[in-house]
Amino acid sequence: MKVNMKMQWVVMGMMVLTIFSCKPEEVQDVERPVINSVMVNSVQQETHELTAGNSFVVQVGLTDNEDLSQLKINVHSADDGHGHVDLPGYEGLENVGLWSYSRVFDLSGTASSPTSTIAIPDTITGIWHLEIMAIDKAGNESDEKVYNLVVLP
Amino acid sequence: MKATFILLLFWMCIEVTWSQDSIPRQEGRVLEIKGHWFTFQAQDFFSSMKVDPGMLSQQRGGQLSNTLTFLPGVSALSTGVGIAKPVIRGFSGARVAVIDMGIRQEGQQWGNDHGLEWDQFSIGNLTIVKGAASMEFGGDALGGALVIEHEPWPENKSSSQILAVVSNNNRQRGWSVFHQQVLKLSNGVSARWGARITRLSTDDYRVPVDSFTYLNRTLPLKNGVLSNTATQENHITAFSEWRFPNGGLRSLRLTYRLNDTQSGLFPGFVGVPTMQSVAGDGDKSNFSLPRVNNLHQKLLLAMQFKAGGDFIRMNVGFQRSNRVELSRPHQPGFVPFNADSLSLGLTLNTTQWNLGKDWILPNAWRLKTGLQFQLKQNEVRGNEFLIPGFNQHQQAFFATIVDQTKFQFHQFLGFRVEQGGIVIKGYQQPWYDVDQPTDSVLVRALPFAKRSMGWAAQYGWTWNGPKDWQVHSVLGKVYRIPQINEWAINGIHHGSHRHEKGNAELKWESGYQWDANVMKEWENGHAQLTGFVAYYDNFIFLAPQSYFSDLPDGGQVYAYLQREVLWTGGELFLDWHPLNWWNADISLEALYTREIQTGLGLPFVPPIVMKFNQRWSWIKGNHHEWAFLINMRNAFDQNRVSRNERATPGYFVINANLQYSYKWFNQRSISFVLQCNNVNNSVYYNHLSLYRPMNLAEQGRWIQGTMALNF
Repeated sequence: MKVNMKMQWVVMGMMVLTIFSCKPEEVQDVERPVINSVMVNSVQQETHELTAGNSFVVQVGLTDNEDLSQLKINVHSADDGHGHVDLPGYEGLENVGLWSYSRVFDLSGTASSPTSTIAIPDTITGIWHLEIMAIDKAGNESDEKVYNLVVLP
Repeated sequence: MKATFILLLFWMCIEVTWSQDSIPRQEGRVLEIKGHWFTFQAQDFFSSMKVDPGMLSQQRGGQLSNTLTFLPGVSALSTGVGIAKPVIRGFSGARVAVIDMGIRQEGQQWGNDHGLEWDQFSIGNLTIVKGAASMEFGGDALGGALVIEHEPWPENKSSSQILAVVSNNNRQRGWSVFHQQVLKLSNGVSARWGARITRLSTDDYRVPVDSFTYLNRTLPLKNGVLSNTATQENHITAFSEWRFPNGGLRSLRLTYRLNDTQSGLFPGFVGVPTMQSVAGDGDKSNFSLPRVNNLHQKLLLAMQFKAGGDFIRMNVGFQRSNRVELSRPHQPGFVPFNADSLSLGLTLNTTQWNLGKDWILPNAWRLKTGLQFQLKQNEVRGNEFLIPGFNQHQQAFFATIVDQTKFQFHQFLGFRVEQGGIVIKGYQQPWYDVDQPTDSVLVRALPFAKRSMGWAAQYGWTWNGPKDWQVHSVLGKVYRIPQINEWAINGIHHGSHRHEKGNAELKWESGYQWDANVMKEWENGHAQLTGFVAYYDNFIFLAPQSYFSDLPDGGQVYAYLQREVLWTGGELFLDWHPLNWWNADISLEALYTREIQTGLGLPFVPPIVMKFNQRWSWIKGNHHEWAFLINMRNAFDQNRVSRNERATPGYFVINANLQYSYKWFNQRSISFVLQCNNVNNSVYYNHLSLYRPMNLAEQGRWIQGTMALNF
């Protein structure tokens, strides 16, 4: 009995060693892409004041250690699910009208700076969020960047 | 790789089988060690911990799942105060079954943020199974199970309990009232009925920080309060039980349970958090949007018949789970004009029927057989979409044979075969342009049907050695049927901003598990070392993809994949009671996971944790009993994480607890428990909390008082 039990532990040890000694089939890229800059109309800041009916230009600068995959620019109402939003200097500004924007850029290489021109409907006012996200080919996600777009009549 | 593993397992099986002939056939013992808080039981197909009911009342942690976390190998996957589900050796949700009176609890458990619908006071006996318990409980018990039984029969004609609980953090307050009555009927028939009603409420959740960071921005938390996170729970349990001394029907038990919970959701969980939204409305006890209402009801019938010398068991259960998520419409393009706040409505009806028979064979071998049937029907509604409606059926047969002879060496063998089918309904979501419906729709789910069959088998043995050594080993093949979200989810889970996508090509998950316990008992203590290794050839998990969602507010797509996975770990537990009034125990638990293709860890795996408990008690005369308990927990850094998952720093937390009880005659007593948690006011993060990605710390120092009057 003792011999057999010892044998089991030996077998078990071999099993564990077999598994742990297996090297992964792929060398893993676990480094996230980095969004270095987000400029709205060539200005880099947290809150941007824009005018309804006009267009604005978003330019994103980003890098990755191996291979970029996609960049997403998204605009959605900041009034999502939890009451209206006050920002210092814009108290009481209600969101009026519907507006959303979403665009995905296919990227490649280790650096890119895509640009998008976005038209603002002339029927809206209020506060919207500009979200910027990036992913590389391995599925690593960048830290997300969020900015306020204050749309005035 | 897979072939090597299976070959090694097979070899080990043969070694064990051969070894039985060399066992001296001596009088053995029950493989059971009684610790202070629970009794270890290495029985048949799994090792388990039968939890002392006193522990549940003395270590209450807000939710049942949290209460259990000071047991070795058990942790909780939580979302603040009111929502938590148990985690056993890193497995949770679809891989940990909750068995209530023989019937598996079925709710909307596919979501990590969906808590266990349970009244934490309504537990008579609780057994926690660690490791696969698939033979009898099915593939959903691949990682473990919580087996819950009714309160025991009263020693007198009746028993009652009035229980009250208050807490300073989030101002938890609640009460629970229980009564059961024994009835003496003619012809030796005995019966009882009983009921428990529980109500618990909490205010907004508080954490020991004044700000949090999410989406690269730091937002303030006024007084550390997470706005709109109040909870309210209402629970009802009613049961009746009859026992018959003669005839075919020997016992009958009917149980009804209702669990109604309302939870506000932290606005940071739904959409992008803003200064105003996290500041809240100033009212800490109300529920505003977004919030979740969950109503779970079940009716259970358990019967036992005697046929010849054998017993036949039958369990029938009907459950209805209704989950409603409410928020202001916030998905542009999918919301019609004047849409209401119902973002997601999910109604699941489940019917189960189990039939089993125990056979006593020659030479004291016991054969247990069972048939199980289950039907599920899920309906969905609301402005948003996550999972489609579906109809599912499963039927299984199992047989286990156990050597019950009281000799030094016992062995057992089990086999289960299951057949199942699912019909998933398609879902097309209308597209709106400036509130007006258009002709276009977005296909969120394609209809499809699946039918498949799986099997599981386990072989194990126990050995009672000399000098109080005990060894238990189980080896087996397991399977699990994918859940609806794994097959067909297609939507955005709040809080993560990620788009989760099911995979209609998934096969039944399967793997091979080995589990062993070595126990040594002394006069004033015992030690236990548990190890387990599991290899899954097609483990299902959610993995990030290299592309974005096509939904307007969706982020990165996370899709369900099947990969080869290694899951291993163990627990070391030492229990020492040098004096009658002094007990100390320490446990160390560790897990290692590896996706074999990439070498990365899996998500939501608990860190290495050390738990240390000390309890001193004093009994004065026949009436007074005092106890003081200190519980320390040291969690190490969790740096082995899945892709895009954050590492979590370690922490050290001390909990203390003072108890007093006064006992009268006839089991009457009153007890008070004063509990101080996180005495050192540590600011720490729980790797298993859904608040972790938002950098929200766990609760700071908080005090809870409990009073229980038993009569």
